[in-house]
Amino acid sequence: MPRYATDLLEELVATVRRGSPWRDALHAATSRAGGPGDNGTDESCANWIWLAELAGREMAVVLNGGLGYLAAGLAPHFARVCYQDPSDRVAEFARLRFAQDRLRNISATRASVDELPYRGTSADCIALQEVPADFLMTDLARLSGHCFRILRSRGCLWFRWDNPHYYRRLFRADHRHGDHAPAARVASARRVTQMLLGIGYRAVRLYYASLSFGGSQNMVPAAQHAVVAFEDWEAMGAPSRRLRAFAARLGLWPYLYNSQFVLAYK
Amino acid sequence: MNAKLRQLLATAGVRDHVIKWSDVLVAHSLGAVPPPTNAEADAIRYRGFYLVLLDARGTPTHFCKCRPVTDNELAHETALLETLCHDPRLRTVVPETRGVRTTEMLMQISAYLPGPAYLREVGRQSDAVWAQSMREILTAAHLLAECATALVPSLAGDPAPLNLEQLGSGPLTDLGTVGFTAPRAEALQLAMRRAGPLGRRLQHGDLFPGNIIRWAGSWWLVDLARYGWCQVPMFDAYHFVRSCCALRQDGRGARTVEGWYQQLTGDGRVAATAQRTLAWVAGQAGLTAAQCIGALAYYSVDITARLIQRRAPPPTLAPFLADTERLADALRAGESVERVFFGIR
Repeated sequence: MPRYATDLLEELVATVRRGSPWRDALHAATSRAGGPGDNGTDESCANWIWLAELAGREMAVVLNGGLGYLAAGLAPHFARVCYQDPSDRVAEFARLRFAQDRLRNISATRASVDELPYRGTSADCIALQEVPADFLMTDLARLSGHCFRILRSRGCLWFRWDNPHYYRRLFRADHRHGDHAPAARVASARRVTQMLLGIGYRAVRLYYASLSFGGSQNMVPAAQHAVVAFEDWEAMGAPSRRLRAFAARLGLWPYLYNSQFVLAYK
Repeated sequence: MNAKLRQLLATAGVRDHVIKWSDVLVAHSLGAVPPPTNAEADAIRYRGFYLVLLDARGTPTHFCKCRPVTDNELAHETALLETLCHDPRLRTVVPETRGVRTTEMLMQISAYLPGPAYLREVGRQSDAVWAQSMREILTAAHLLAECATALVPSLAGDPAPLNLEQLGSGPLTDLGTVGFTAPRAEALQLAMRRAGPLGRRLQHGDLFPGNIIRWAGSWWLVDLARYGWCQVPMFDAYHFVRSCCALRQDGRGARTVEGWYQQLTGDGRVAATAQRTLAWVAGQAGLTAAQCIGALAYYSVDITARLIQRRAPPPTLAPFLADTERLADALRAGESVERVFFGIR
């Protein structure tokens, strides 16, 4: 999710504080900024929760929560959701929108992604909505380690990262969506999986998400039979069907999708 | 897959073995289930997502629609399909389906139909195959209507004949909001009035090539979310033939881009096949020319009004609005609309 200009956020927060419906105010602000400008255009970005095998549903933590879509989407699934974002203004907007929507089980605070003010083994699920642009693998490993400490047994960590847009362009799979390059520095899924298993997570499930030119969010298990089945189902045809089939054979599937995400279980 | 989803599938008796995490795809996720607020539930029409379940070899076995419990269209479709899929006559028209619900989710589980959608075939067929396939599909739709009328009598509801003019007044008002002029509205209204009382006939409501699947030698009709809500004869036929025409290529191999009315006024093979098909459906239904034109006026107005109600973007709305205006202008000018749509000379 791109960060918004400070003046735009100030205005957005002021508008919502005056009582305007947050969605209308956000739409107006993003239109002025030149586009929808948000990865999760609605709370559907939380639907991965239906894939997560969780032992408990007491508390979820959303890090880098942005405009609050993920936290709002998770709210019906947990007794309590703790949202945090490093930006004062963004966190304030989220607080206002949660209040307007009467989502009373969400608490919103300003905190950086490194600050995790939660006691050990207290959360059933931790979701990192946006991997910070300046994160390297070592940063992600450190954060995943902190999360491991906070998660309850059989709790899960979720995060997603975008694939570099030049791969999708190479395979002509980048027709509609804007480029989301920042998290590409996180590196390959294989390294991410090894890192998580090294920390002690007992299982790591990798998914490919949001077909590059499909326009809709899709979540495909990173397993050969699932990817082939998905591509057949979508009947993804011209013009690059052959190229994509070739890429699939080479094991380059991840690059046909916007992003990847993991569900790492403690 | 989480425990709630697993429980839903178990309740539906989908599998008797454990489903692995890699055997479930989520597709077209267009809204959170359940929606965090009621306002959210209203804000997005198609809230929810699809699940495709795979067997151990990766072959899709089930297609599941997952929606909030407030989704009346899915509840309607599921209840209907649960009844219809057991009728032996419809075993190759609608997939075997069952529904389950919890306090958070409504799930419709259907047997997976692997065949291609007609949408992907119609543009590539020869004229003869196209003509034949349209008749077969409209015959399947006719059979579905007959079975649904018999098996679900509540669908037909009021047995009184339809008054098209009355039925079309609401949609015509919607058209007025986007600048549809009063003289044009009056021309369409007159056509609907001239149709007189019209016998009811259950319609699919969205019979376009994307909702038709070719599999195992049969045409399967899917997405019955609004089935039976429209009972104006010929509605499906007009919508279906029009959608097909839009996907056909002209004699030079180029995709046809003009409006439907304009396309049918031409002397191409697309126009001739479309006219013959519509005339065949009208003949099967035993409708007079005035009734057919009245139903056409209603179809044109209603389908355009639906887009207005959904706040469709201008590029989507424009061709429908232009066709409705063109039809109204033709009626006002006294052109032979029967000749254009049915080839009657």
